[in-house]
Amino acid sequence: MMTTNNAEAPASTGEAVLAGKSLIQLEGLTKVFETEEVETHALSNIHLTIRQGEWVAIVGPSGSGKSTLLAVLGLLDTATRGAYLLDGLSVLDLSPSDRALVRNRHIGFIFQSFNLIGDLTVFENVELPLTYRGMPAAERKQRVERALEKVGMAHRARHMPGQLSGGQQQRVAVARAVAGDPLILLADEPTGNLDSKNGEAVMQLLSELHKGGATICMVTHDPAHARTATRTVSLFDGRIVQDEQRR
Amino acid sequence: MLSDLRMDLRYTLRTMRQTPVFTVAAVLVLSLGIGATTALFSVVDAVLLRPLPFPEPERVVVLGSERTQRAAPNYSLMTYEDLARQFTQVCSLTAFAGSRFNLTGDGDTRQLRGVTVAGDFFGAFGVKPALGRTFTPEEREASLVVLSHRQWQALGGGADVLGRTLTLGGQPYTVVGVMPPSFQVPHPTVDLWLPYDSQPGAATSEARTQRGFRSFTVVGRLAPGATLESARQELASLAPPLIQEDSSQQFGLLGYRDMLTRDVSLVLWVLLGAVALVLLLAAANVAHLQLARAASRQRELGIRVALGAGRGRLVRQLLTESLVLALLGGVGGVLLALWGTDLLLALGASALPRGGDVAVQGRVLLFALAVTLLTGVGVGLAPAVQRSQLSPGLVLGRGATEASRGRTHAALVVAEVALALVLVTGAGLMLKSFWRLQQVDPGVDPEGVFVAWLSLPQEGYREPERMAAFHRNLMARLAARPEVAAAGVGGSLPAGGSIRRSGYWVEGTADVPNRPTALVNVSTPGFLEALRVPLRAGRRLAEADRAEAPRVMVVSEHFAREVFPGQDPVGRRVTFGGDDAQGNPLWMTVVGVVGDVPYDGIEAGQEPTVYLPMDQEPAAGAQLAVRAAPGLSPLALEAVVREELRAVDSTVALAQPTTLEARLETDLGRPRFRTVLLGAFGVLALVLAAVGIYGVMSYAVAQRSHEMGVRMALGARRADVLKLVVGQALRRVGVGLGLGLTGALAAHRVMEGLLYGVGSLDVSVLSAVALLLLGTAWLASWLPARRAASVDPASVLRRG
Ligand SMILES: Nc1ncnc2c1ncn2[C@@H]1O[C@H](COP(=O)(O)OP(=O)(O)O)[C@@H](O)[C@H]1O
Ligand SMILES: [Mg+2]
Repeated sequence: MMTTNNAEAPASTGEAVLAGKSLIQLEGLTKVFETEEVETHALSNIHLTIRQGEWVAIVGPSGSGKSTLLAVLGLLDTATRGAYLLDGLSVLDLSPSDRALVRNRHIGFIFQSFNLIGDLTVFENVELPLTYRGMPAAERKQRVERALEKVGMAHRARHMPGQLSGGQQQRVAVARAVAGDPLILLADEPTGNLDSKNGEAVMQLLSELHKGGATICMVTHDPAHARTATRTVSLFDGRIVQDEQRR
Repeated sequence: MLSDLRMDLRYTLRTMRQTPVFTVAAVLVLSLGIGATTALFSVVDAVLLRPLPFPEPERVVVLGSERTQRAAPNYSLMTYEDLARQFTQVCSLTAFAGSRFNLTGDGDTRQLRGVTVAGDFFGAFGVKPALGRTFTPEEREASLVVLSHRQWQALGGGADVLGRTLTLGGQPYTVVGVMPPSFQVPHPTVDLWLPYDSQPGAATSEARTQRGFRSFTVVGRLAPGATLESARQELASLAPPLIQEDSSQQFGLLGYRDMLTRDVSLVLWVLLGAVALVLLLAAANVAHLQLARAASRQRELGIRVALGAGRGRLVRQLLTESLVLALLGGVGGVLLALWGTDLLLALGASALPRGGDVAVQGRVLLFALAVTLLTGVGVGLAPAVQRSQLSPGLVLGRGATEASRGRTHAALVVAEVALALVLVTGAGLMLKSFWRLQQVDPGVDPEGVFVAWLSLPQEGYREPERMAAFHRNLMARLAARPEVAAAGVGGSLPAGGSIRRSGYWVEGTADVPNRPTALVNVSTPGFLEALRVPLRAGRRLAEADRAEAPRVMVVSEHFAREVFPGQDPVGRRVTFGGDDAQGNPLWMTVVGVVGDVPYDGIEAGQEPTVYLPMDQEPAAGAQLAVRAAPGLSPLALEAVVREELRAVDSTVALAQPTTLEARLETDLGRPRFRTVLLGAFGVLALVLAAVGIYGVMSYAVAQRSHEMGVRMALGARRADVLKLVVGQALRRVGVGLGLGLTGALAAHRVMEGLLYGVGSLDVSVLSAVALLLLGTAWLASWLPARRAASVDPASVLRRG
């Protein structure tokens, strides 16, 4: 069931947002890592457009460039060549502090190992990206509470991450990612460190977010999880070898 | 048990080899701390702790004020005789005074530092001569001399010295004995001792005839059965009639050693305290290094616990490590102390009483060992206890101990900052005090002035007229030289070490039994010009103020202010005792007022001073001050002075030729010694604190680099990360400063007696030091913070 990249994504819920404009546009994007002797072409000539409301699963064997792609999408890393438009704005040659700003405002990260900060409470973890925005405390509180409610962790706001199970930690991480209303959620194997039951729960959570209108780009090893997404992009050796869209 | 120890040791040595950088750094830091402490203790030991080299040294007592004062006050021989007759609780009472003797006979005239004694001098100290015998109280008029070991060496050091005749002040003296090298009464550079009354004209000298001639130190030995307390009581009952004679005298009794060391004991204890704080800082740094290293060994320790190692076993293992480190540091420290002691002596410790006895040996080595063991246990205990609390589960699981280790690190930073604040405040106060001392107006213009001691031999200068004539003659010849701008002779020079004070009575006021005293500086007319002491009113001393002319004096502003407040002193009359030919008080008319000069040293400050004409009050010993003609070096004047001296009288010795500037410098020697040392400790403290903060923050940043990546992935900017790290460091520093403030204030209190011109709460020094520490902390945490901010945020994905 191959479709072209630029085919209109049909809205599964029939909502207008899903007919969305293109949020991310990569053109001829290439990433070369230069280490002492070898040059690694982690990404080669990637063309990829992600539209508002899409849920993209990125799959591929280990070392195929999935994480690198996510890092470039999330402005954690820069590309060697090519163009990257985020919401119509070219973001490849922003200064480090502008990139931090874009990350903070428009990107929500979910990591495989949760990456909650151990010294901060659940509440403070979720609040962290908002503080970097200089948001007033009252508004932060409101947003954090809303995000925690969304993931069903509001009752654990005062806990420390160490006191939570892996699944709970990942839900807090999701709350942290969505608290700032990002344009897109980037998830690198969000279920990789979880057992299947907790993994399912997180996938369920992402599903709900997607239904609520969130745009998600997720790296996964699990074919079943990839099928939950609306689109699957397969990488091999730094190239897109397949791009599959589902109804 | 023993095999356990062997295993612990073997294991310790292996870990030390595996982490050579840590080992070397820790040993170096500990060596520095232990070495500095040991070196300073060797000085404290020699000066304050080791018993004086007399039999039953604690029974040797000295007359003086029991209140703190710079030196023991002096007494007249007449007062001494009165006391000696009545005092039963103290036996072998003796009075002695320093004097200079010209040694003539073979080659150039040399000036020797002698002590003239009355009473049972050698009995009071109880020291046997190394060679020959001492003279007895009965031989008071015999021309006998006992040499110091030093002088004996200078004279060849042969046994044939006994019986030899030395010509001292033109008088033949027979050498009867040589004292051992440890006998250095009253100071290490003494050359000889001789009976006061053996000197020609002694019986009619001022010392024998005037109660006001107070230049003798009075020492005795507590009689059998007497205590310091009982002797004090008896003295209190004997004193009133003596005070009647001269009320400015103080009759108290104190241990000879206390008198000897009371100027220096405070500074030495303060310095030892300071260096102990430096050692604490060093130990805190090593403790931190050990703690940080433990992080990498956490799993290993956890496995040991899991395998059933008891808590005591684990603590022992960890203590073995820190003790081995400390012992290595102790060895390095003792080596460093050997060198550091020499440095201390060169810096001025050799000028301390008994400074010559400073050595790293015996008790000092024991001290070093004790300090080493204490440091080893101290450094090891905190990390050991903390680490032995690890439960295997915690260790094999992840990280919850991180927080508690973080707390220990934070506590170390707080402690280091607090210690550093105390030390650096101490150093800052010393620096400020020293700076103040240097700012003090010496009252004279020292640039271009040549100074030296002149002393007239008794032979040929028995009559005052001849002394006066000699000085007049020499001054006239010097003034005629083109190299000389002005020349004069005076009893006292700034920082010159010779001070004479006398009680005075102002005409028209009631004569009180205890007359106030003023510093009396007998000088020639050129003296004040040579020093450029400014004239404030009237005139200076002049050629016309000869012996037969009306008696006059010039007074200092301080004297004028104190004695004639709000009045014109010129024309008023004052007496210092004595009668004129008609039997009336010997009045002297004030003819001028000049600026103040702190003759007794800048720290002591200026005091009421009067200048009497040499012609009217001739003296045999005085100091020469010659101002060089413009453009000429004052040192070049030595040849000129010697030439003229030879022309006037070649038997007169010129001693200690130098410049006035150099003399004023030596006046600052003691304050400089303590300032340099405390300053060095302050710098050391600052460096150690900076290294500590840097280490702790580097470690924390390394531990948290992943977290920093996460924060950056979430949108933290560089500035946010910098702020986070620096902010955390500064918060700890702030707590440390708060805690250290109490200590710093206490240190200020303790040091007050060492400070000049610094109030009891010096906000400027405190705030400057706090700012300095904050700045240092900022810098020390800025570098690790930059490292934290340069974490590649993409690494967060890779590690996950
Ligand atoms: N920082 C880096 N330096 C050098 N090579 C890197 C770096 N990050 C990734 N690579 C290389 O780029 C390629 C793609 O890596 P990655 O994106 O992590 O793959 P995936 O996530 O699909 O397993 C790999 O060959 C990897 O070794
Ligand atoms: Mg990956």
